[in-house]
Amino acid sequence: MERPALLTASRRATPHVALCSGLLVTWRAFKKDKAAAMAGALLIVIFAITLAAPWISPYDPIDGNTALRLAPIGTPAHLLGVDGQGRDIFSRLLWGGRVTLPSAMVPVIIATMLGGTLGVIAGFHGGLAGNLIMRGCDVLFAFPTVILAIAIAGIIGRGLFNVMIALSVVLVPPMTRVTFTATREIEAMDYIQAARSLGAREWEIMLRHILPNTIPPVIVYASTIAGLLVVFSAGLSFLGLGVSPPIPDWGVMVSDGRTVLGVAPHVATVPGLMISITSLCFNLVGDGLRFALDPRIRNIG
Amino acid sequence: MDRRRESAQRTRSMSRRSFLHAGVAGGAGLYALASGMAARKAETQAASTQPKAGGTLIWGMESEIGPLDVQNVGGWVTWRVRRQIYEPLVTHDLTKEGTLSPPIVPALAASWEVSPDGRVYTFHLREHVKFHDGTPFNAEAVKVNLDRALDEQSPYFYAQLSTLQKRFIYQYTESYKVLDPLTIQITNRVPFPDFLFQMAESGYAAFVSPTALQKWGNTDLAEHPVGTGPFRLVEHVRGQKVVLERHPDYWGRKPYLNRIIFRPLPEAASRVVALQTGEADLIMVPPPDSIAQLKKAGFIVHQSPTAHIWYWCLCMNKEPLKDVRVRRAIQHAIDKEGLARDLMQGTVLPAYQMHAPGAPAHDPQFKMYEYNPAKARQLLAEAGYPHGLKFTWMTSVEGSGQLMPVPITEWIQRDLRKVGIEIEIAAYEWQSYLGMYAVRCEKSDSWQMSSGEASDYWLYKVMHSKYNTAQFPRSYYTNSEIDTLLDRAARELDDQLRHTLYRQANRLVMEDAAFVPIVHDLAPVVYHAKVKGFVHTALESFDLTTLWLDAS
Repeated sequence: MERPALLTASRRATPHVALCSGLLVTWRAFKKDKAAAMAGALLIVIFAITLAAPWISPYDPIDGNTALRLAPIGTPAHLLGVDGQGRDIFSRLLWGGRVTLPSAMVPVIIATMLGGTLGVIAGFHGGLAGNLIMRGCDVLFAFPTVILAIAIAGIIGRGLFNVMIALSVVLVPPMTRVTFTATREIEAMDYIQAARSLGAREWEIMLRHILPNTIPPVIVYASTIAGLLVVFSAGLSFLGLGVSPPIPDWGVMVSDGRTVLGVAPHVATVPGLMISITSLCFNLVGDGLRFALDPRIRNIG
Repeated sequence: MDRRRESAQRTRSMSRRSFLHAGVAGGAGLYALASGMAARKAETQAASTQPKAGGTLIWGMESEIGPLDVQNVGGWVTWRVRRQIYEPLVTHDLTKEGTLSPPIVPALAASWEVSPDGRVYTFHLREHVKFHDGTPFNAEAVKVNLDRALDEQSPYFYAQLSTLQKRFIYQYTESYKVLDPLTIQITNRVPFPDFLFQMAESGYAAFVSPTALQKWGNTDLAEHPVGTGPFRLVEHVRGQKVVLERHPDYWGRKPYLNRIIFRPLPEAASRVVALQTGEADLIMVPPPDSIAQLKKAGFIVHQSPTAHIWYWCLCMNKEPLKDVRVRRAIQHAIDKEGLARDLMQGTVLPAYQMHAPGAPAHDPQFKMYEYNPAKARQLLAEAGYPHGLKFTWMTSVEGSGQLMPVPITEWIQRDLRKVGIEIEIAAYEWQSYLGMYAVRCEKSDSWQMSSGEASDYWLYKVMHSKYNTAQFPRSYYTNSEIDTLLDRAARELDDQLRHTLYRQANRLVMEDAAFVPIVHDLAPVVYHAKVKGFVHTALESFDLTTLWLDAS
């Protein structure tokens, strides 16, 4: 059977070029969003300085000078102050980022890929597979997120790597749910019907038309939980499941500062601010990406 | 009469302080005004040293309490509450400030005799004592409680408690019998000079009402505690509060307070906030760094040496801690003075022995291992670790008597890194930490604990190889020489000889460097200035009948 000309034409265009031009459009739109662009720049700076910690950190992050315990912000040579063990907070922030940022981002990335795939399959196919996936998610939803993460980390054992696995697992159900809903919504759209009536294959519709359109809501969701994950992984470390002392981690630094909150508030607030700023940046970048990726909003804007 | 003397003393010290105030102010040229003020102040303070009855005290606890069944397991936090509800036959006198070894005084037994061979104890019970539910306290009630712990044939028998009681208090008990309604006799197989102390300590040997026991049964009793103590339970809302009220028919000195509310506030920083906002009148275990600020704000910080030792157990079932030279190197590598001074801000004393302050065998001069990093490095080199070594240390993150476990371990970790020992810390939540008791030396190379008694016998409980069984392997430490010494000491009736034996045992333990004593707690108690009559002793349990509130 002869295929309609329109579809054949679109298929003939090399996907490479299409992707490049798509990215370019997105990038132009993203650049226009001042807040998102600045947040993105800031994130890059944060990543760069934490990566460069071994070269630029002024002090050893785990060995302190006990004579300077709890020295405040602005102490000469210790601009962000000193913690209860006499360690330089700035150095610990730099090194801590190397633990905190991966433990916040890796689970989000893994869960997005896993949950995204499951969600699209369940939403598009429905049927037995879809039901199994979604009911499986419901089972996991029944447990509070943190408790579930503690249980998983408790079973597979301590350590940063295992915490990342535990957090990935608990994020899969909400990710699946978000993509599932988006898929169902898109599937009802006219252009899917059109593609179908033009004879597009199921996998083609799924990969070309549905998957790209589920990305905006997923990106927004992923960016909001990245900040939350910093707090989760700190909680797991506090319970002895994550990083062990004296390795710095922003969340652990906040938790260390709790006991001296009244007398040396900077010990908890400096890393706390760092967590807030980073999560805010993730959110702004996520928002910016959503607008940039969504042609409807992009055109209105 | 005691109290009158105490108040007279206080008045005297007040006027001396006022005099000093006056002197300083006088130097500044304000003598007349200041002395007038000081005199008035002294007057009001003298007047307010007369205790007043009434009021409610709110006590911020470090954690939720364990079961309110006197004979069940618990830690210091739980004992402090239970002690107000239940009473043993004999008790420690906790009404004298700063006592290191509080003397044993009559409680539910008005008097007692010990046979010359030290085996038979005859207790003459106090008359007209009633439990909170009106049940009379008599020899039958004592027998029911003893049956509960010791007689497997008895309907009251509670297996869970039995292990605990037999292990510590009644381990030598052969028989007990009711001689008449107010006399009970307990016979031990061997002389056991620490028997009375163990009965008084933490009140495990206190008595529950037989009526309540019949009504609620062994397990539910914990939620319906009925004792003879100065306070009785009003309500217990788990996670929120334990409310006690004065027992109007109490046989002894009546408490001044109408009520005490114990509130669990596990977070040290929130305990401080609760104190500052008036949500708590009294807290323990404040973050050491907040003490200066609290003092400045007018709160009273009350601390004194306690029978509390925070120690590190080194597992000897495997390398590298099997090697005594490594263990000795560790002892030399830790700057305990620095730890006590800087991190703990003077709320602890550095510890160099396994006898806690208050134990008669505690020798303040004893110091086998001074802080000496060079010597530590040398010992490690001799042991075959010239380039250092690495092992793991398991710790809790909080808990009854644990102080600040993670900051303390981190502090020590840094000291050890300086001599080439890398420690990997594994921190666990308190309940799971306790739950791993039997497998700690399988999961880790070392672990820490906090405990202690104002009795030498504590060493027996911790060091004797019979408590280092496969079921409860403390750290796989056994030394038959120490066992022999401890067995002799536990039965020795001569006080001096007994203390000498216990001192020898401690010396051997320290030569083996089997445990690393880290610090002795000074147990700072912080309270609002209106709280009066608080008495601090080495036991870290308190007699709250002396407490009163100065509303003015």
